[in-house]
Amino acid sequence: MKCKKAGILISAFADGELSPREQSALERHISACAACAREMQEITELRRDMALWAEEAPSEWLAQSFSHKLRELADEGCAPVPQKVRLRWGVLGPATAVFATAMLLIVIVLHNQTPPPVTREAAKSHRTATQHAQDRQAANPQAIGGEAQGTGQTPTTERHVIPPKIVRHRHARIHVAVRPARDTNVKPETPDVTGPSPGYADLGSRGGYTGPAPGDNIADRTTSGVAPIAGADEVKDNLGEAGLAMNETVERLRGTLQQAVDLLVSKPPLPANGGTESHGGDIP
Amino acid sequence: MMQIAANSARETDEELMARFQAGDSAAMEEIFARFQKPLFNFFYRMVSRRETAEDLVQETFLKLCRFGHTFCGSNAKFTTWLYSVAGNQCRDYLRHSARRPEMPVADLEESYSEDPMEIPPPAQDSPVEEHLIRMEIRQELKSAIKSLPEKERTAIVLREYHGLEYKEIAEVLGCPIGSVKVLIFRARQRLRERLKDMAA
Repeated sequence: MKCKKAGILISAFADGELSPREQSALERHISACAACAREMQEITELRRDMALWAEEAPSEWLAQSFSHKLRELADEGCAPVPQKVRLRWGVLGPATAVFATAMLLIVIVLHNQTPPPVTREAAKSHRTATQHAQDRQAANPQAIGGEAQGTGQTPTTERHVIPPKIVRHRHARIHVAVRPARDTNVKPETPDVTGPSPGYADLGSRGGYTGPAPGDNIADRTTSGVAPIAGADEVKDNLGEAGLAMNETVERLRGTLQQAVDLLVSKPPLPANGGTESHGGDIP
Repeated sequence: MMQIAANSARETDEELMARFQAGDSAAMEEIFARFQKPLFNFFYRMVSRRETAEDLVQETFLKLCRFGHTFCGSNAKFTTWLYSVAGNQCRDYLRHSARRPEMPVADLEESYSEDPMEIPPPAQDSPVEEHLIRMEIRQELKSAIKSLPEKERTAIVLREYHGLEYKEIAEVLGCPIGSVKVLIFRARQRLRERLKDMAA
């Protein structure tokens, strides 16, 4: 027997864990090996020293704290955990993993279908159009005020605070009047004079669109008592010669429409500037 | 009352666990009363800090409450199973504290634990000199055990202070009996060398 193996056996012998055969073999080795005999002595001394570290008692806090926690667990019904809960979780685990994977795939697919980001050219074009519209509005601020006077609505000073959305509607109605002018090849020479709102600046810059807004209807406008377009002088002052031409065309068209309406309803025609201001008023 | 105490004294650990598994939470209180001190000393010798040891004892018993249904009395001895849970708890703590060392606080607490007030007072028949020697040996032993690798420390503590057999230690550590023999042998070698260095 070598001393290294004898050392392991000596340790086990001190603990009483050797078989009779191992024990007799170790005794034969120790009787012949002084180093292993000394090691046996040292292990005995070590065990005696280790026994000096006596047991200590925990503080009273431990028992009180555990008793409190045990009552809490009993109130929650957590002690002990039922076996079937463990089995159910064993089924739910893979199901949860599958669900999470499916959700991840959906998110990836949706992410790939989102529109591409705005390009630099598109953003630049939008900025340029907006800047043009603002410049035009700054160059001729009376355009909007004139329309307000013509329709007999809020004064000019108050119009500046009207939100752009409302202004956009009003321009749309003006464009209704302009549409026949395009049919008669009367093209406005100075389209900037109309001073489209910033909301329409994009349309103007892209295609020069001056037609009606979607859903607008001339007949509705006439029969619902919408206020007429501004007078000729105001239009000339505000819109120039091209505007005057447009206004004349509008007047002609309106006269034609009035005649048609008169024929249909057998009512006298409306006066030139006698429309009511209320958009939702009764039909006379 | 006396009858209940006598009955509970006759009950084995496995029977108490069976009662707890049947839903009797008073059985867990009895188990706690029996094993809080041994478990506290096991953790204290493993981590060398009283407060941490008490926390670990509490955590171990709470685990027993939650997972007590997994114990099968016919297959295993309760103490072996209990020390397996405690060993896992201790291993988790030691690994966690190794990743996040708190050296200044640990040193501070260690210095508090060296307070002579914590040391049990000497017996009336033992002289003061002998008491001081015992204090010194205890302190050196504590430091030497703390320096052991985790598995060797667990094996030697379970053997020397809790009287577990090699077979039970092998179950707690999840290794063969031969490995337990080597672990204990190496632990004793290191302790002897360490204590010799301290004495020198």
